[in-house]
Amino acid sequence: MSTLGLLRPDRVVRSTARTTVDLTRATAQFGLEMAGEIAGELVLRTVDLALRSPVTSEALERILGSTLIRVTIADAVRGPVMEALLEEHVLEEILNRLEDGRAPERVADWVLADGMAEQIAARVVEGPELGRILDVALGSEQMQATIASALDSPAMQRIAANAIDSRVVDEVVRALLASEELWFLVAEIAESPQVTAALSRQTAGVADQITDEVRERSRGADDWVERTARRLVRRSAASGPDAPGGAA
Amino acid sequence: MTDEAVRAAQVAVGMPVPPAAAAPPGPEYVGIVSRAVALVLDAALINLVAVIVGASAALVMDTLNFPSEVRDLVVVIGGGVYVGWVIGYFVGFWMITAQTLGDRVMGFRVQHLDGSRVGLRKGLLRFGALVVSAIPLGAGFIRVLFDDRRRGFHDRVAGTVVIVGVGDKPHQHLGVPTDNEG
Repeated sequence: MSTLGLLRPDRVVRSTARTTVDLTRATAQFGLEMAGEIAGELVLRTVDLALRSPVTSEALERILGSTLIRVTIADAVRGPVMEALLEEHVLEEILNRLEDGRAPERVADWVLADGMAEQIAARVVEGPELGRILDVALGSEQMQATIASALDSPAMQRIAANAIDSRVVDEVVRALLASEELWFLVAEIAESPQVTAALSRQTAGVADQITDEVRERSRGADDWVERTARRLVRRSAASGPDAPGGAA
Repeated sequence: MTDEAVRAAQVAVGMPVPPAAAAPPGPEYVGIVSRAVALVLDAALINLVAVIVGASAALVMDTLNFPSEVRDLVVVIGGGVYVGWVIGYFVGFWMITAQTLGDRVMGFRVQHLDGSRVGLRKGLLRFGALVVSAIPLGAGFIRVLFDDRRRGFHDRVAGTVVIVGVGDKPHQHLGVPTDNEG
């Protein structure tokens, strides 16, 4: 009775239909998945082929070098996008985020640790750009006026005074006085023809001054002795025996 | 017609007379004090050289241990050399540069009245008269005090004057007649 109950035709049909529907659904899903995988693989293969192709790079160069790209970028920089970025303080937000993430310190650490700073310094020092920059800077009237103003400023005077008062100067002077090279240099200068000639001229000048003084004074003494002698002779002649009122 | 006559005639007729050209300044004669200083300088130099030479000669003689006769002879010769050195110094400088070293320091020169340089004969004569002037306590130099051209006995004997001037400049004619008082 129960077995016959189970084999009722309506139930069999219903069960079969349900099974058929499930099977169909699973098959369709499997087919879709397979199709997706095949399509993805096909796309990737196509992309790989395109990237490996020299035509692709040529096409990219043409696109990037085209006027359309330049105009587009220029419009984007000048256009509402950039204004929106600036007005909305997006840049500040980006910079703040970078700062919060210690980006500057990390960049500096990376640059210093990698020896890049030394390379940059060496490149700047050895390159011709530094000389050209210095030539332009030192040749400009503005720079010269700035240097002159700085040298005349009270701050520079204070710096110079502090430098002179510092112990470094004392040490330098002490080291200079103790060095044999300094005294060799002094001896060379003292024995140079220019210095000896100057000393000779100075000595001759002093001797000439002394001689002129002696001559002038002796001329005065000449006149004084002569006047005195003549006065004495006239006086003795006037008081002589033949003079009026003189001794008889 | 002389210039003076022309000027007198111009004055007589009332013509404007240009001022007479200023006479060139005459030579400046040197007095007794300056000459004495120069003589002292010359004497110091002469005796300094003589002392050095004499000391050197004495050292050599002591080293070589000459006999006394030779020493006496050397002393006599040394005295003669000294006299010759003194005469040669003065006369030589008067002849060559017209001034001794002392004269040059004091800035004067010795020359004839006509501006010419002293020759050998007049130089020797002047030196002899200079010695004669000095012997009686320098009485021969007293005349320098009273002479218009400040000439001493030896200047009058040699016909020379002592004027201000340094160096061996061209001789200047003094514009005064040469006298022959010597």
